[in-house]
Amino acid sequence: MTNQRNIEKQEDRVDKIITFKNGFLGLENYKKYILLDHPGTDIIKWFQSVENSDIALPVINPVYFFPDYAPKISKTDLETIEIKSPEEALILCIITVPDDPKKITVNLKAPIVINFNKLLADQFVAENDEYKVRQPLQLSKPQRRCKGC
Amino acid sequence: MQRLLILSRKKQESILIGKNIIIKILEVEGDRVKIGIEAPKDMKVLRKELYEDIREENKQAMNASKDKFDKLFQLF
Repeated sequence: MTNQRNIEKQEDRVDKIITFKNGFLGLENYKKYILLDHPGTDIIKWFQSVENSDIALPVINPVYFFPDYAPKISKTDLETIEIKSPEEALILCIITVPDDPKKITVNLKAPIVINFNKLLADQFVAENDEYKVRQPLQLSKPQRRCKGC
Repeated sequence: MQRLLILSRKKQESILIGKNIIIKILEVEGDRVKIGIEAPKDMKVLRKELYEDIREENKQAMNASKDKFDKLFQLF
């Protein structure tokens, strides 16, 4: 994942507006986001809408917690954000933090795929049956194996 | 304006929606129907219940308040 370096370099990230082709599912009216670090950690990032400040979704790099994570997304889908080979893609997954934070889940079924070179992204649905919309997440220590697999 | 149109189709018959969406009945077996969908590449085709499930989860994820995150980080 060569593009992962890009988001860790401050100068590459600031003010770079990522355009979603369709938008997050259910939020199709909002297409422009910036990716911000959560204060004090590099594990959690936020997709912050530049069109509506109320819209922000927290994401993690799924590979950090699920090293085997490999969502199956069709070539046709990837072409909509001009991705031709897997190395061009950075994948992030949305986390949901309920009132009891121990019950945090991650959406492995519908990852966000980003083409950082073109600043294009979208939320796609992975064909993998084993990936859940609400996969429990152990935040304290990275899981060595994909428990959903 | 939305409308509900009801059509009967047999196996291998199709429905044309607009100019470039074709829905074809491929197989009927008991209460399962296999459907082929031809649509422009940039048009999302998703199972409705899955779309709704992901949409709801996105909304939940958006509700993450600072307070919840403060609690979350105590777990680290």
